[in-house]
Amino acid sequence: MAMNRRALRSGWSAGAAAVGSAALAGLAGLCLVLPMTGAACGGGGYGRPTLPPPEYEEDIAPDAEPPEGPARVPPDAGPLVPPDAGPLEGPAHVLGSPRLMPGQKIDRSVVLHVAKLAALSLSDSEVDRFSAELGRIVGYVEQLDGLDTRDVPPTAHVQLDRLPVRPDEPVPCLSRDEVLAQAPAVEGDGFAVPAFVE
Amino acid sequence: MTATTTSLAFSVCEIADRVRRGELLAENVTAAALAQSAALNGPLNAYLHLAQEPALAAARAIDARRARGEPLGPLAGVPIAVKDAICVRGMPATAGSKILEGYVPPYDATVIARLRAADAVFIGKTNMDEFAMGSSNENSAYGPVHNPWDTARAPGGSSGGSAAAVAARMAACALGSDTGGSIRQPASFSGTVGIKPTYGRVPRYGLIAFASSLDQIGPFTTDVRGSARVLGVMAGHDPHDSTSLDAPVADYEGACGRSLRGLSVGVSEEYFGAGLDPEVAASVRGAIARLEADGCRVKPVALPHTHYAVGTYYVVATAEASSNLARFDGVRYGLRSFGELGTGDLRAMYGATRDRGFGAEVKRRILLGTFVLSSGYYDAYYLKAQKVRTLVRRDFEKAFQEVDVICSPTAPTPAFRLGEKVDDPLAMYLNDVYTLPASLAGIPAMSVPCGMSGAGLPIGLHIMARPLDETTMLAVAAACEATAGVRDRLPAIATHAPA
Repeated sequence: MAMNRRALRSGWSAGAAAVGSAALAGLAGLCLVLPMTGAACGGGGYGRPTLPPPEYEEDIAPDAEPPEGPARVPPDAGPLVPPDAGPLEGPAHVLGSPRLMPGQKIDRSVVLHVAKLAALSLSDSEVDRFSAELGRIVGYVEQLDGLDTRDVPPTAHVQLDRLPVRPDEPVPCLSRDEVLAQAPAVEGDGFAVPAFVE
Repeated sequence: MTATTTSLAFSVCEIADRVRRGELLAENVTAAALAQSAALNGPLNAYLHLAQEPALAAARAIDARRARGEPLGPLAGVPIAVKDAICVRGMPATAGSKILEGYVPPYDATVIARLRAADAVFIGKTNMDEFAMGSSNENSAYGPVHNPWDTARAPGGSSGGSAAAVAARMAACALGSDTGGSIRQPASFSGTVGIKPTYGRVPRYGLIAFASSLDQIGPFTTDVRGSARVLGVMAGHDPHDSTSLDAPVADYEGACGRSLRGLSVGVSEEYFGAGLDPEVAASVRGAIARLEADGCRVKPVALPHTHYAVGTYYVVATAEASSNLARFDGVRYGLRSFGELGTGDLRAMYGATRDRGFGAEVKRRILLGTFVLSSGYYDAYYLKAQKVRTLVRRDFEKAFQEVDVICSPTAPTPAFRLGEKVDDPLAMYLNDVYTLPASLAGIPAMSVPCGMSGAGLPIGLHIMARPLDETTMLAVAAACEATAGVRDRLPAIATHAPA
């Protein structure tokens, strides 16, 4: 988990979090069955997923340890890495596409890159469509650049100082059987997913 | 069965008070609401699920308790429709998305548990824009909702099914969720009352999350007093939601009818600029003039960052959505798809599940949100938007030193036509220009009907207030309702239901 240290800095991407779910299973030594985590709703939180934290982030420092195991490859990163392929080589391999350059406009390559981070497979026509639409929306958003915000603190959410915290005590939760009854596939007492390590 | 000949003509408080006094059977009210819902759902598509038998059983149980002389709750027998983003134990919850098709939550949202304890009856789940992302209900995976006032028009969004259900008297009350205007704008389009409470006032445990720093649950009703009562039942701290406030819950219903003498109403010209329909402007200015006649002082206030709210919102909300929606990966609930690659590939499963499960607007927002959070863009977009959010909040803090409430139009136009903006996401986003600032600032805001357009479409007055000052907001709303003269108007479809 050493490479988790820098992962939180810039918020989660959907892709990172989704992949993290698989990585957690790998770390727990489970090939097929993921432990139960969270319900479909995120009533609390501030935009944090209920999924386990991501196990990689796109801007891993050059001296960071390389990712361990194929579970860290995002969806659509090419053909499935065979289980015996050994550790992957590092961030470039993980991303499979060039890093975004500051100031770069939204084009097909940006949409493809972001779609990988978000674990979204997109058709060719979707990539074209979203490139154009996101370009317009981001162009509109850039009007914010006209405001001087140098001395303005960011608002992540309102009224944090008034939020009460509950005692850290175990309380009854949903029954395992009822929760697993909603899963697309179950094995034993966990969620079943395709094997991704041998 | 028509609304004017049955208990459906009654408001929330009229129903509950009559049921409590034994003058009306909860079963009859529920049966009438179910019949109206079944009759009108073809043309309106307001419901995704009708809970016929559980609703009737719950109503009969309430009647039985009344017959035994047991006390009943403040919402006894009130038929409530629930936006499909809110979990009701045993009823499907799709959030308007294919990715949650078949999901049946094993628990009640906190608001549902509280309303149930107040003896409300849940009659079904209402249609919505997928994951509450939209302003017209055209982003539902299950087809658009039609506005009861003109079925060629949008009901607003994202809580369009809830708004339509109340407008057409398919339910006395409906629950919605409001992230950037998703209760207030459809309330305006449908001629109903809709409240977005202060951020943290109503617990969100059991609400399928869109943007967690903005989401709030609130009611739609036919009158202000009904919304006040429902809000009073739902509000208050919940240990399951760390963002829910433990401030005392005020007497919201008691605030309705309170004198406005001495209150000051702020009016910001930023809310009356280009793009505002002249009929809407005239109707809203008329409502403000009537508040002045009721004893309010009307004062101009400046909210100079209003113009930046749309850009700010669509960065902040999509960023939060991109992480909230990471939980939909085909592992724990809902859809699982493998695409072309067969069943052996976990990564293909994530991608294919999300590609097939999410609609275009959801993908668009996940992509935008992931983009603004991504390395190299975080500071330029996400952090920048959070800073501008601070400026929007400061606008309100300053204005509320001068005035008690701020009034504006809820939406720049009456209900627009279905299909009119569907190909232009940015035009759709700009429709939310008047509701977004209050969402960013976390302040309470509501829409109350204040007039009708020449074409017979409802127009809403938007009332914003200080954090946790729902009582003043409701007092102003009740006064507006009392003088607007539109409270008892019903869409024709509600009174001439097809057999």
